[in-house]
Amino acid sequence: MKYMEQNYPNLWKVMSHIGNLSPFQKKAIFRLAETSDQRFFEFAESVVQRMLEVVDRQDGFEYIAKTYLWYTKSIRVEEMYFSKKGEYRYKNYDEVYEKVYGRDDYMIDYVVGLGMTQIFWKNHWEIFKFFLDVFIPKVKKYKSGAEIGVGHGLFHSEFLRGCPDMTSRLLDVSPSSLKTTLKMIEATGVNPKRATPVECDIQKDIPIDDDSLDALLMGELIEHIQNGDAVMLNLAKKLKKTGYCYFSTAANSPAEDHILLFKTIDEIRFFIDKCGWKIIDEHIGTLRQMSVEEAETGGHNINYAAVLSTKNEI
Amino acid sequence: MGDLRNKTIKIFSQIMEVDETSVTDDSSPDNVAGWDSLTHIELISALEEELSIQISPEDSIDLENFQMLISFIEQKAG
Repeated sequence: MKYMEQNYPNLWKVMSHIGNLSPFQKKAIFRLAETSDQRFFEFAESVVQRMLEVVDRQDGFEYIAKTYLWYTKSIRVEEMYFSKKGEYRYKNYDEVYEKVYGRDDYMIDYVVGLGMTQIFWKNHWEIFKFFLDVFIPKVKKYKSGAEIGVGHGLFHSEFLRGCPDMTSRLLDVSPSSLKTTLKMIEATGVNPKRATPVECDIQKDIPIDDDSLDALLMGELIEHIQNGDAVMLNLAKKLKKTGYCYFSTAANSPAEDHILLFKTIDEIRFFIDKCGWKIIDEHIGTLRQMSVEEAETGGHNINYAAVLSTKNEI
Repeated sequence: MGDLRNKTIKIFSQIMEVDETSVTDDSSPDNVAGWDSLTHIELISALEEELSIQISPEDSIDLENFQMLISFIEQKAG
């Protein structure tokens, strides 16, 4: 751990704050650190550095640690609820909008907390690697992109960094999320002018021309939407026949703003297929190295990420 | 209350896969290897079922050591 303190000081400071505040998270994050490689540490240090720049606060380390714990706690409350009821708490988008997306101050904490899970949750780190290693190489020479539901902006920042000729549109219902993403792009060392923010509700309108995108990102989006089928069908029209989409979601994954519940991986695959998309490549991850079958039967979290094309792919 | 404590220790030791004699008020995720967020859910479900009590999701996640757990259960049962 001395090595870590010297070589990744920002990561170490945040981890130390977290460890002092929560025995559960101390165990989880230090266990992850013990089994991680240099790539993880370099990425994690860079995420903490960027997040510090994005939040721009005197108490940045403490704020990031507390916000991560607050976010994790909110997920654990929903996990308990889900284990008792077998369903997500909310089924209506308007309720979730009022509770989460419509509140600016809340959304900033939300995206910072969520952003830190990309490095502190092994399943989220695995998904990020799939995005970097499998999706980005497929679109790196393309020029026209968009992300729907931009969250903390880490995915979009890496997207623009990995695709130097890309210009893109950021679509999100939350102005805080759009602002955070632009700051994250800048903190990554990429010109934020390459991305145009568009505040909109994609359930009502998707202001992108049909057949215009080379690359589309919709990570952890569909579970937040009440009428996911209609949105996925509509989005399929936006991608060029030669384009690729990064898609991720999860089964049995409660959160206070998750509405659409998948219980199995086949339900996700069926959903993708019926909405006009074709799976090119996929990543499936469970907790504690459980088999997918065990996770499905026990109602445990399963992460799913895929590279998709439209069914009209040439 | 002694019986309740013994029952709680028995359930706890089964879920966390530790010997009953090793469970103390100081037992926590720091010193019980198997106590993580997933086994915590299993523990709460088992306690609710075996002891016929209800623990809300909000309350359950704050019970981060055995002392807190047993105090909460005794209060519920009392």
